[in-house]
Amino acid sequence: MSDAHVIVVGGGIAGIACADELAQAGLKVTLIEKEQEIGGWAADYCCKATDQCNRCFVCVSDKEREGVRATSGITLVTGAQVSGIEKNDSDYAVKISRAAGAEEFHGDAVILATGFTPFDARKKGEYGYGRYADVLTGLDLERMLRERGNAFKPSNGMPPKSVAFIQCVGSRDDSIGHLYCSKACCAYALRMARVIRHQNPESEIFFFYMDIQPAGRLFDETLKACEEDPNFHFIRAIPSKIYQYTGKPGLMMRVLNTETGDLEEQFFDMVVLSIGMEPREENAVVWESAGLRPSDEGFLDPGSAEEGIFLAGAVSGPKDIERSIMDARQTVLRTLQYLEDKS
Amino acid sequence: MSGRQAVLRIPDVKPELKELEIPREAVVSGDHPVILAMADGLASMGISVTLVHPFGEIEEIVAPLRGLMEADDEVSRKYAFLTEKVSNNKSIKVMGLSTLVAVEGWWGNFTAEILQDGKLATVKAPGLALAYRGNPKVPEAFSTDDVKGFSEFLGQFDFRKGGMKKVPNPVKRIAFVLDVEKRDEKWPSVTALRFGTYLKEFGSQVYILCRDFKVSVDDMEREYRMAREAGVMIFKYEDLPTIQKGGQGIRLTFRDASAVSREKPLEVTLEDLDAVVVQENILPAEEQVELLAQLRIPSEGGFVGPNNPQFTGRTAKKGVVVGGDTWYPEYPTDAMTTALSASQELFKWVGKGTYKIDVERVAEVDPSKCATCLTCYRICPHDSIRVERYGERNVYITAGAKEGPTWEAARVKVETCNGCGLCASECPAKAIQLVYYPDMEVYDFLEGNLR
Amino acid sequence: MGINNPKIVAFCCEESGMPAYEHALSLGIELPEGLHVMALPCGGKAETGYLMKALDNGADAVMIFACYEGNCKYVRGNIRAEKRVGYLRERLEKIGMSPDRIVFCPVAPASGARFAELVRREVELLREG
Ligand SMILES: Cc1cc2nc3c(=O)[nH]c(=O)nc-3n(C[C@H](O)[C@H](O)[C@H](O)COP(=O)(O)OP(=O)(O)OC[C@H]3O[C@@H](n4cnc5c(N)ncnc54)[C@H](O)[C@@H]3O)c2cc1C
Ligand code: SF4
Ligand code: SF4
Ligand code: SF4
Ligand code: SF4
Repeated sequence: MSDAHVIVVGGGIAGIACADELAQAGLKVTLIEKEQEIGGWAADYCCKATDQCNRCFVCVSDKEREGVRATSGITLVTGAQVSGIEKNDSDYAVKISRAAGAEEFHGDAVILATGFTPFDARKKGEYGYGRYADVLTGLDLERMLRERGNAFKPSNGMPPKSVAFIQCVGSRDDSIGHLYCSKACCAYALRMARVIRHQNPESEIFFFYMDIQPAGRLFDETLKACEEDPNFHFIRAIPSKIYQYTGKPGLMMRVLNTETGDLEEQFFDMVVLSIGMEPREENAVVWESAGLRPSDEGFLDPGSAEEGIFLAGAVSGPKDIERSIMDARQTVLRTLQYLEDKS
Repeated sequence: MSGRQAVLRIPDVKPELKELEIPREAVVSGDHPVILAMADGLASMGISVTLVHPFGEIEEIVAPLRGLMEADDEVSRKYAFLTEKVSNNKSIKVMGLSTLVAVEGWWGNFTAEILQDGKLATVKAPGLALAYRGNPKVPEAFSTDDVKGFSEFLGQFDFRKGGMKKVPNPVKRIAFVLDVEKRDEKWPSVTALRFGTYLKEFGSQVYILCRDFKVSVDDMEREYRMAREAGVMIFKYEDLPTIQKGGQGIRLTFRDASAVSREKPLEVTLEDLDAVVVQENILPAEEQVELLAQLRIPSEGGFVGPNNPQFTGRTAKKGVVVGGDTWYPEYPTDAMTTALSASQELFKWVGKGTYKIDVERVAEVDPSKCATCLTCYRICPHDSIRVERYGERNVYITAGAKEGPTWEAARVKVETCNGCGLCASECPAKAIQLVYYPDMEVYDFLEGNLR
Repeated sequence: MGINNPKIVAFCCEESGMPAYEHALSLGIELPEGLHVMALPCGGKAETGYLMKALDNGADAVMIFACYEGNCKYVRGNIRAEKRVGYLRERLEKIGMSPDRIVFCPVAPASGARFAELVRREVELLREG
């Protein structure tokens, strides 16, 4: 088994974790990534520590990535989009297309870890994403905090005072056919909201949600810290629209006043849309070539995978980083079992 | 990328490798159903597993799940399959009616003392996997006779009896109360929804009261929708419901917090309930607390620590992994993922047979300087340093020692030392140095660049 | 009595401080030339001797970049470092020196911007005297 060769498709945290585990088990690994750099989405995220670590797992992903770059047993193929997988007996041919032309890699097993696409907030036109400068997505805020270190209003560069977070944008929403929870967005939103509060003691957070989803152990600490913060307001209702009055700065929303029960107009400096995850449609041809079918949620059904083809990470359904890593390890165990049985 | 700063990096010393034989063996111990997944996961990779569990039969390991198995096919399928597999796997040495009472040692060389039938057996193993079931305790606010915890309630059901197709449904009106104290556990939501939907099919009126319904589990959002359409009533409360005897059963009163104002709250009273099932707090199992202490694994509140993102599914001690409630209470299918991922983690440490370890990337004690103060022993995060007897060559005299020369000094276990240098920086006798990064490097840099 | 181009020694944990320094560079942020960056396997390895030696040799300030509480690869190395720094700051104050000459700065690998900001603040503090 130890001379077996496994091809991992997708260099996000799930693919990285798979490659790392396989290499540590002594196998030959080829990691194929479409982009020029491995890391996937998580490579764009920020640390969400306040005075202490808030367990967002972003640095774990950063470290794993650097670890895999430095591991000699892993062949990295970047800038290479996988366009199909072909199975001949026990040989798997993974076809890639890259700038230099088409190529094929052969392995004894394939792990697909091609991840997700963040929901395109423009599809929810009522929130005015793309029209109003100070309406951001969770991903924009992640990038802003990672690259610039602090939160500011894109329109004028000033720190925002009142920030609204709207949860479940593109998730738990039958009107767009997404009848699933994206599992990571409550946690990242709460943690980034705490970062904003930590950086600017005068800021106020308005958190619009349906149900708060915990993420991992000790999430209660994060939740309690938010609830005890007098400038942190939880409102169990999702606003339906963001608008602006011409000539006036700021973003307006109709919000439920939880004290009186009335709908009132409220003004915000900045609105963060907590976008969720969608399947990567562009990979449909790859799925088809591997005989993979979507699950009821629209992501891939691991049960439909052909022998020797495995799934890891968010490709089989939304997962946060911790769960993606655990899923990757479980997948590696299954892959090793498969190879052991075959030899 | 390079800046204009003077930079001292950790020296890139050529690793000096020592080959280590690690037998492909492991002890899996506990009473949580995921021990089956751990044992099977490791055994199917060719590892000889000793499975230590307190039950008479392997089937009994999944007994706590039998109620839930009535309602959840996936749990039923996955765990029944595992029970089969483990029962038929000859390479798993099953020790039933046994408890792991004591354990010590390091990666590659753990000694486990197992009590079976009143007799103590000693098993040597290079790796350990632990998964215990926590003790469920109904929170204070609800500890009345009328209320049951999930485990007690589900204990009345057993899928082997054919479910409610055969046995009449014992509950007419039932309320599940979730998120009483702990709000970061998802298992109660999933259990209440799946079991509630099942009861509903057999004519029960089902209410679920929670702070937040946990839909962040595969398929839950759809099931949540379907359950509501089927008539399962789900309420969100902010202040804990009050419980009383009322009508012909139990009465729960609370305010429904879903999108109504605080001023005009919707008071809800549920009368005539014949069952109220409350989310328990899962307290750590006593054996688990004891074993973690013996292994000198940091723990927090009796559960394995640290809660450091880098320690997902493993412990600070090399060669010990955890699952089940020892890690964190999870729904059985999620717990299985965690357990399998822990098995993979352990497989890396006991699966290869021989390991090459770098004896440069470690700390080293100069025994002639050591004052056996045990500082290093206490602070080493990986339990990699012990006071041991050295040979005659290293005889030294402790200042002010009453009994003359001793032959003892601290010694670093190179197999498990991670080379962090904590011991070196705290040793009062300055007896420890990092082999790959001695103090001189730092001092030279400071002198050379600052002066 | 401010210092214009202060010499600062940054003891950086390999797990967080060093990657944060490199992240700062990769973001194209200019860091002062007087900054001396030293990698340590863990913030907890920044022993009293190192810190005092740095000050002895003419450093205007010593900064320790380690992991946030709850994220130390070696469980509590960062907390040890923080305690040590707290103790040394008290000592500095007692002998009439500014305690700000030794600071503990938790960072994550992707905290390049924060790393630079903390250095900038320290430089400013020393400049103001
Ligand atoms: C805005 C936002 C913020 C988040 N913040 C957090 C957080 O703070 N903490 C947390 O735990 N989780 C967070 N998450 C969740 C986190 O993003 C996921 O858990 C994680 O990224 C999943 O990793 P993955 O490897 O499965 O997928 P991805 O990151 O999507 O990686 C997939 C990789 O595969 C490559 N790929 C795709 N198709 C092909 C192909 N055909 N050929 C070759 N390569 C291909 C892609 O380029 C990509 O690199 C967040 C999610 C969102 C949307
Ligand atoms: S886990 Fe997240 S919050 Fe904690 S140190 Fe890492 S990046 Fe920061
Ligand atoms: S994690 Fe939270 S915000 Fe995201 S879809 Fe689920 S409930 Fe909505
Ligand atoms: S801390 Fe130093 S003196 Fe004390 S036991 Fe360890 S090596 Fe010996
Ligand atoms: S260097 Fe770290 S891991 Fe090694 S013995 Fe010392 S304290 Fe323990």
